[in-house]
Amino acid sequence: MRRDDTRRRRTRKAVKAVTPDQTVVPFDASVALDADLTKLAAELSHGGARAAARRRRDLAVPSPAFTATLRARLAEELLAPTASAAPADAAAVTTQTASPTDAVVAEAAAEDAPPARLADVAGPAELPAPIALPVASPRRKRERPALPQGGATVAPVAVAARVRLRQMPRILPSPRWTALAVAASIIVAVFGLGRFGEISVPPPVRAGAVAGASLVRDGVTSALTFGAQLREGDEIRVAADGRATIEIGAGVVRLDGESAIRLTRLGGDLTLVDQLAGRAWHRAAPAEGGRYAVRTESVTWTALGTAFDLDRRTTTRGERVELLAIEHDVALTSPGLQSRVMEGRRAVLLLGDASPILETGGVDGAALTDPWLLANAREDRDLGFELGIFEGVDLGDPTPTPVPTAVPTAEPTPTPAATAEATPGPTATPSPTPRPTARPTPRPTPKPTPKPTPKPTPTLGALTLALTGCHGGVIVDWSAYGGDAFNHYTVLRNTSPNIPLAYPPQAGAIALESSYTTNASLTSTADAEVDPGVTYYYRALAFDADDRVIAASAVKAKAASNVMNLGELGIGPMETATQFDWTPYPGPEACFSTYKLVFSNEDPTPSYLEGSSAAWAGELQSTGSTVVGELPSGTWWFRLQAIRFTQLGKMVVAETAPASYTVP
Amino acid sequence: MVSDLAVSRLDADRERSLVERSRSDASAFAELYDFYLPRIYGFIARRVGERAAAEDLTAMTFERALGTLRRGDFRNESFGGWLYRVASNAIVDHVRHDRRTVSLAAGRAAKAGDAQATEEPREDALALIGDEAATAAFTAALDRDVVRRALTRLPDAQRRVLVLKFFDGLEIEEMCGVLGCSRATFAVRLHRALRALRDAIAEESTDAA
Repeated sequence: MRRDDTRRRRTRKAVKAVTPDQTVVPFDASVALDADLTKLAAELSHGGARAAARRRRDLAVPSPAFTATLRARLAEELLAPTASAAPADAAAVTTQTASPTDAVVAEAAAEDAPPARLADVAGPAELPAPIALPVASPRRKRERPALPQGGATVAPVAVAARVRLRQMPRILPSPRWTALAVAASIIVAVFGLGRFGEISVPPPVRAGAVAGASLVRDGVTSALTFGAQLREGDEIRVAADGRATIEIGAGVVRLDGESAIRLTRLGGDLTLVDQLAGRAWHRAAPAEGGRYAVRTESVTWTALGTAFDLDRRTTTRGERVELLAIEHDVALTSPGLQSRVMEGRRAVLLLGDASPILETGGVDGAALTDPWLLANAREDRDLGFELGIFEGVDLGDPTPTPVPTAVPTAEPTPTPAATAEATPGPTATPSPTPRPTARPTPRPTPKPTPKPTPKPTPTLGALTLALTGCHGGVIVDWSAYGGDAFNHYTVLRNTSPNIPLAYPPQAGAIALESSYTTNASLTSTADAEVDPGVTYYYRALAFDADDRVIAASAVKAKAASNVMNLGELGIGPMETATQFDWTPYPGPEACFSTYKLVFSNEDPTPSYLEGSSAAWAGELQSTGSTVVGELPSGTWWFRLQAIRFTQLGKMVVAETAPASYTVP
Repeated sequence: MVSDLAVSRLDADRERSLVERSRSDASAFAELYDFYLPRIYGFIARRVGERAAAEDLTAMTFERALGTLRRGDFRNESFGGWLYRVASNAIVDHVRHDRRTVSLAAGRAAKAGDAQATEEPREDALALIGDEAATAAFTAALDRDVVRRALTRLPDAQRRVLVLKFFDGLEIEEMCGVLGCSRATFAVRLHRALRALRDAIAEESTDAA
């Protein structure tokens, strides 16, 4: 048992070592830790070696002729001039071997023909026909034939071939067709440029739900009202008890109290927001090819994904900026610093005169219960956005809380939201929770966000999770996944509630090795690798073949206690048998499957989990005695263990002390 | 691990240097060629099953490599990995676009393997091309029948990982190149594939019992 524990702990440490921060994973390290897998790998290697020996006799070796021919051809290509590097070489060879007339023909043909190999241009007879279709090819530099030396008279060069090459097209387009062609070109150019983002279209920007926020435009401060159109240079400031939602194209920025931003640039290619103070949730959705960046003084945060939370506070040490990457990564650039904050990670900067000090770390459990973050995640979910680290997290949907009516009570009088009065706008009363109010007009576009890495994630399925804390470990049960694309299950465990939906596990989570199965109907395992009294958090995940999460459970917690000691094992000889007595396991029925009476003549601590033989087994928990006949004679170590079986593993929940007994 | 060739790996620095110089130095490219040609050819031949097709695809792979090197477009970390990736894509293209030129030998093999295949010999023959052919050869070389059966039960992606590692004997950078993943991801995939195989063996044994 002890040896088994040691091995397991070693395995656990190894699993922990595989974190996203580790860029190089020792190859085969994980395999080497598992004796079974090592053996299996050796068997496969042996098969591979046999196949290799076999294929040497087969066709898997290139013929010498082919090798030599291809080698010569490639060397020739390598030595041949490239279109840009030494275009004159081929022409030079040609002019040396051909007559002046032929040289002109060759020169002209070389302009239109694809780059030829050195051998191909040796003779003018092999040149293509004079009138060739225009082929897109690098334009070659034309070289004049060398003048004869010694001041000799230059003989006139025949121009027939050149004229023949450059004869006019037989069918001239009429002016009408020419005009149409020009018009078509313009249309294609306009659409083409638009398609590739050369013509940048700034995103529409307007205020969404607003309470207690003001707009500073051209030095004039006014109340920010719902639906107000915003433009470049506008500054939005939110009072301590206020909040504001700014819609930028398909994206959104939600401002907490005491926050301020400036819309520094609103271009199709770049949306740049200066976050001047406070906290804001940024859901970036720039147009295709565009970028979304937030600046905090000299530090720029560029969305490589779609959502992040940025908090800027003044502390005694200076300005402190904390970023939490909610969905996908965020790039960080500042003078002398360049980094990338991965999804589920946080970065903290202290802005000062010198280069900012950077701290990074995983998201702690508190973040997943932060009302501000949860409320924003809920809003994003309702808008159809993906949730990143909040995927599968219980967002604590407010039950019938006084959610402000989605439509701002469409009265016939549209309330022209007069001036800088305290009435913040048509949205509902600024109830303190949830902080970011529900958007009054939910937009119909479900998910317009272009992704940097297209992730064809289907809708995430739900798994239920049940934990049973037992002596010696935790029983983990989850519901079977019934959808398509299932490949395997894995249960993740952490000491904090933060278990991102990702594999390899992130934020300090580890995978329960025993939970991995490709059989969708196997849905329970035992986790015996726990420290007694420590609360562990679990989440069951179903993956597809590409390791993408297709279903997940909520995160649940459970603690386990030590393996129960059942005291001494009583052993008494009978006439033709041996009697064993013990204290029945008093633990919960849910933690018991069977008793095993194990014995060994080598191991003084025999254990069923380590392969010791069982002399008897019983499934009645209240049993405290048994008689075993025909035991082999000799001195043996006996021990009674209470075992809890699951579909994917087993664990010892209680056991007696080992006892030595000599069978006559 | 299982390599046909005496020198199993080109030193990474040496390879980088050769790649740098190959743009203009024929001897550097020749060294890369000499090292990789038998490997790439073998990789392709084990999948397409015909010498002529293997030679064509090998030539295509190296011509593309040469073009990329000459243009200075090569940006990858591992030249070998990239080369295997190109070869792998060439094989896929060959299978996809060459459906009308399935060899008679492959067709016969398909027919011989399945008497029911007379109606669709071409489709069956196509199934043998690509990774399937390599898998079949690998499976045939395994000792235990239960492992052979278990291997065929694995999902394609996991079986491919095992074939690349244990049958083709590629280096990790090369496998990462073929699969288009990082070292870390590959290590995870390999581990999972082995575990899945172990599970499949257990299930096979249970079924047999």
